[in-house]
Amino acid sequence: MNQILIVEDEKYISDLIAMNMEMIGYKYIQVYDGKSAEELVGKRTIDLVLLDIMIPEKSGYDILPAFIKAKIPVIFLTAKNEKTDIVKGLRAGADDYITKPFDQIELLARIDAVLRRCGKLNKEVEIEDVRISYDCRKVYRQGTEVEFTSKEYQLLETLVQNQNIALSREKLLEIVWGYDYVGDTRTVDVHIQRIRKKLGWEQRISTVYKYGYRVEI
Amino acid sequence: MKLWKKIFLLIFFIGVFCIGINDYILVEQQHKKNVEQMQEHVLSEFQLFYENYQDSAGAFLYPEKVVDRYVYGNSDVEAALYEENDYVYNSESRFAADYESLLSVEKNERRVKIFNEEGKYYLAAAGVLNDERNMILIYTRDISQIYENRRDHYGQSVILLVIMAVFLMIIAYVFSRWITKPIKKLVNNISGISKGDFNLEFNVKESEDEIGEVEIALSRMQSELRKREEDLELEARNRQRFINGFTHEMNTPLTSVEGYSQMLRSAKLTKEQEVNALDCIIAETRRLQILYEKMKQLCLIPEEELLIENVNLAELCEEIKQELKCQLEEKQITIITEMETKEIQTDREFLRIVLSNVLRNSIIYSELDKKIVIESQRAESGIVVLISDEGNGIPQEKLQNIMEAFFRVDKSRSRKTGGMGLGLTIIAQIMEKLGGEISIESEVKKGTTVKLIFYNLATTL
Repeated sequence: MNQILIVEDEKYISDLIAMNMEMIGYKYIQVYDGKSAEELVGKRTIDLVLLDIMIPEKSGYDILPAFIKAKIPVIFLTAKNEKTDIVKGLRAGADDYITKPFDQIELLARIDAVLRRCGKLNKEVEIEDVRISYDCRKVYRQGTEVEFTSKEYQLLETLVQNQNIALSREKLLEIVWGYDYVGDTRTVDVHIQRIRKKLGWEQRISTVYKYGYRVEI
Repeated sequence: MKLWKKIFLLIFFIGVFCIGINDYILVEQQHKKNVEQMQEHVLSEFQLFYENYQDSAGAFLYPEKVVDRYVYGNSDVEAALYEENDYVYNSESRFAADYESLLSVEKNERRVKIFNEEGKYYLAAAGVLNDERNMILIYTRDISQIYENRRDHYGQSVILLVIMAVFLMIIAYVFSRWITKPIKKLVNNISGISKGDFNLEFNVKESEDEIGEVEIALSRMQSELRKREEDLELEARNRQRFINGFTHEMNTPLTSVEGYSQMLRSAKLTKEQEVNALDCIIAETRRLQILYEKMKQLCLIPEEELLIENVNLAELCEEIKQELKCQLEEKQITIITEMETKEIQTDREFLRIVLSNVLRNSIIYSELDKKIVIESQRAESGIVVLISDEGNGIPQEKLQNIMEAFFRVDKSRSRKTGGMGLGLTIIAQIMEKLGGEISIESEVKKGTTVKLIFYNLATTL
């Protein structure tokens, strides 16, 4: 189970990120200044740090070396106009950055990307009697493999990796079928139906009114 | 062509020319003198001859003999006799053509002519020897020597000229380089400035010539440019700071509102989570509103009309105390007023904003159970209001920036340690509009004193 360290002094934003982590199923620790963050290195397991630059006590840059030394990946949270800060941060060794205000899904995608790079991402996930192997791109129900088409699998993976978060039909179309796809969102609906049937997840994949779909775990 | 070359050529050619002219004039003058002397000589010889003839007994009959005797053996001279314009006798006949013009000489006149034949020069003097027989004697002397002398002189002067020219070349070169050296230095510095390098060294020599003046002017220009560049950099940095501050204040609430809204839309939240999310959205929206209000104030304050009246300071302070009752009670802070002057002539509303903001700051930055003192005094220039607190104070280095828009002493802009950084900016603007001034003194961990000076209106309007 991955544990994410959230270093952000604005409580609302910190809570926001925490809620997101909770939905995905990651554990998290919230600290509100640089000094406290630095002190946690070595004392608690940290798989990834979400680090705001402008924090009290010690700035994001100042504590970055501590995390690099401990081989903990870092994602910077920056405001849009701090271009030089972004460059500075990346050069100093951060793994990625995300600008505020950030898109929920983008944040989660970046976190996953960094974790995958460090090999910390789960290779598979088990939800009751269903097992999804990300590595092999296979789905098992009660131990037996279930045939999934490529698009079906991608759709399932996207929903599961963003578990508990509703994704709009348009967004799903974009992510799974790409920007160039000339078709309408009914394709998404059709595929969702098929997945539901194959896994018996009629309840688990809930329809969000006027929006899209959500996998509830 | 480079300047030094121009100067060099000028000096050289003028020098050569002058020396040349000089030599020419001298030689010609010498020559002329020589010729004149010779002329005198010839004339006196002629005269001698003439008198000899007059005295000589046989001269009348045999003038040839006299002539002959006189010029015999002297190859430099020659004599010719003419009678009735006909050539009669001379020792060597070569110059008949040249003598033509001399034959019209009158009695008692002496006529002189210089002519040259076959490369030699001759001076001929003519005079009437015997009037009755119309006999004319022409006495000619070879004066080529003079002309040779002249040629020699020219030759010498040319040699001398060449030698002088060499010297002149050296001197002209040295001089032209020496004179243009400071110009070269000047040119370097100027092109440095034109490329944007304002830090080249100038040795402003104490030379009082035009070049020295240019150096002084350039040096002044350079420091002016340097200063201007620094000012522009400062301005750019300040502007950047403003933008950074503004976007941060804008960004944070927006991120929250966007994030929580998305969350409410897309996630299945517990009732508690929902309520928290909505609380946050409400709070952050409020914050955006405050930012908006403050920015509006900042922009519009200069435009607003003042309503000047007699304001009772004590009354106003009481009002503000009431307004801030909660915050004061929360931190157990007391406000003490010591009003020497009770009335100020100013815009009441603006004064309220100023005092209220200053007091709010003092409360935020003071610990529990502290005092805030409000004093008012009359000074020569106007009325002074002092607000002193026992709060955290402001570090010396930050004091000069404290009134810039969005400036926060806390670099991380933490909401716990302060507001948006616009309060003092607005106050400063209002004070300027009211015809006054604000200055701040502070000591870290001791306290801060805000001094508001309201200048007498008569003098400021």
